[in-house]
Amino acid sequence: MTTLRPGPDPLVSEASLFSYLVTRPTGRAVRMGIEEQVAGCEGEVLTVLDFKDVAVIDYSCADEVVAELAFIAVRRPARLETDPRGPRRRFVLIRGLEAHHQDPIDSALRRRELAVAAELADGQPVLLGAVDESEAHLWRLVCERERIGPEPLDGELGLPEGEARVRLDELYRRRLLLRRAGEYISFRRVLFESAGRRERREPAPDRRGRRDTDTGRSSS
Amino acid sequence: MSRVIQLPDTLDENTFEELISDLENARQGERLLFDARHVRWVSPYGLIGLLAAGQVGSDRTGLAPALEVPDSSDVRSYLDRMDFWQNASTIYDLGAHSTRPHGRSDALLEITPIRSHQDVHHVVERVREQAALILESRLHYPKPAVIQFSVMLSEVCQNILEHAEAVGWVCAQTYHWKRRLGRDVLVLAVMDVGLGFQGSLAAEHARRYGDRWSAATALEAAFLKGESRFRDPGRGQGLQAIRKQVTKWNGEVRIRSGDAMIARVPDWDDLSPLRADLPYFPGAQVLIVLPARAEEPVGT
Repeated sequence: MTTLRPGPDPLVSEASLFSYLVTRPTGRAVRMGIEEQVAGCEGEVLTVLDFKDVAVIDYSCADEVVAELAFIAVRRPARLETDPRGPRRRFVLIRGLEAHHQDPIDSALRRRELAVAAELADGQPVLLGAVDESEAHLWRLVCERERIGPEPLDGELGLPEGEARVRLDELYRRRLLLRRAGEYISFRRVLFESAGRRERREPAPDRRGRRDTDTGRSSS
Repeated sequence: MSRVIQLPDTLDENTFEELISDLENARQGERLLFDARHVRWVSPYGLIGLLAAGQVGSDRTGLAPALEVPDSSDVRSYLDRMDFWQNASTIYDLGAHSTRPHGRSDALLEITPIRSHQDVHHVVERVREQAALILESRLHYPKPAVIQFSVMLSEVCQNILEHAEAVGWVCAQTYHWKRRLGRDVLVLAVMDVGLGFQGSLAAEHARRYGDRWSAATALEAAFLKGESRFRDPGRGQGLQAIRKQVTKWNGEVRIRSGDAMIARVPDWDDLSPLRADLPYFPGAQVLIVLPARAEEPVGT
């Protein structure tokens, strides 16, 4: 099931994956469903892949779903960046990750020299795929603080201002965090703000637990 | 004209070469008779090997081969329980032989044809519960092993669909290897009679290897280097993952294709890791052996 959460920045698309994610055609169908959901979306979209109910994922499916989505996010900027409606950027976050999901996903990403941000089932942030320790360290610092900048970063991360920004920009280029007006934002923060916006937009439920509207939410 | 192919009394991975060596000379229009009367023991590899050999015989002669059923009632009963006759009926001319009603076997997986990705889903979902029981209680593997086994099963079956362009079969059974190992083992066999590794990888890799291109180099490229018939860097992970996982469990994996065989050889076997002198046989034949852990895990 895929759910879209509207918002100015960025749009969050949630995809709950299920059960047995095995074989390439299955992976392809799942990915196409996810892509279709956000195909017409302008601006930035954070796709959240929820692995909570995934019993098994094999290497082929990990490649078709996660590595392909990461590839689309990073390696096809020309088509997305020159869209007449404005730059269209894609980000991916995995949630509910269990130990047995990690090897197929990590291996699929490494083969393509890609990386993806993830949260373990207990909420701990981890990077999967081709990342070196210094990248992972810097990324964890951003996750801990949730957002960093736009104030000067000199010394903040144990690095000179210029180098810190170069390395943070590289994490942004790899679509592992968001960047806005000199500020670098973790995906968890994005989700927190998106949930807050949704709460404010949605009227309180009535006595029977119903809401008047469910504007902007779609599911498949 | 007819040719009798005498089956060895033990039909397994070690006698497979004997089974297929007579097939090399089969001619178009020749009627083959696979004489299984003296077969006394069959392994999963032997079971689907007999299907594969029959299919190749049929392809070469243009006639459905005949199969003389084993004299041993134990073997016949095992073949019944493993759904052998049901699968053989599409390959062999079985004459008056009919499958008798039988109960469920104690095998992890009876002979199952792999024709589509739905079949792979079916196999993976079907074995999960029993595989968990076998891996934990008989092989003493840790709990997550069932997931890793499911992944391995999925990848090895997909290999048929991705590379063979032909039907394949999968079969799995547990044994106690008293003499060879003194431990329980899970034996998984997967076969097809399609393109084979050399044919599948040729378009993408043969030129680079030049004169050295062969079934053996194709197996090395796929099994050791993770090369695939596709340019996509995401392809070719499956066999690598299987090799890694089997190594972790100190198991054996051997892949035979064309006239070659490559293997990950554990310390408990003395198989040659690479052979290139075997009788030609199309497709790919995979055997995976997972042994019980040598010592009981602490705390259980």
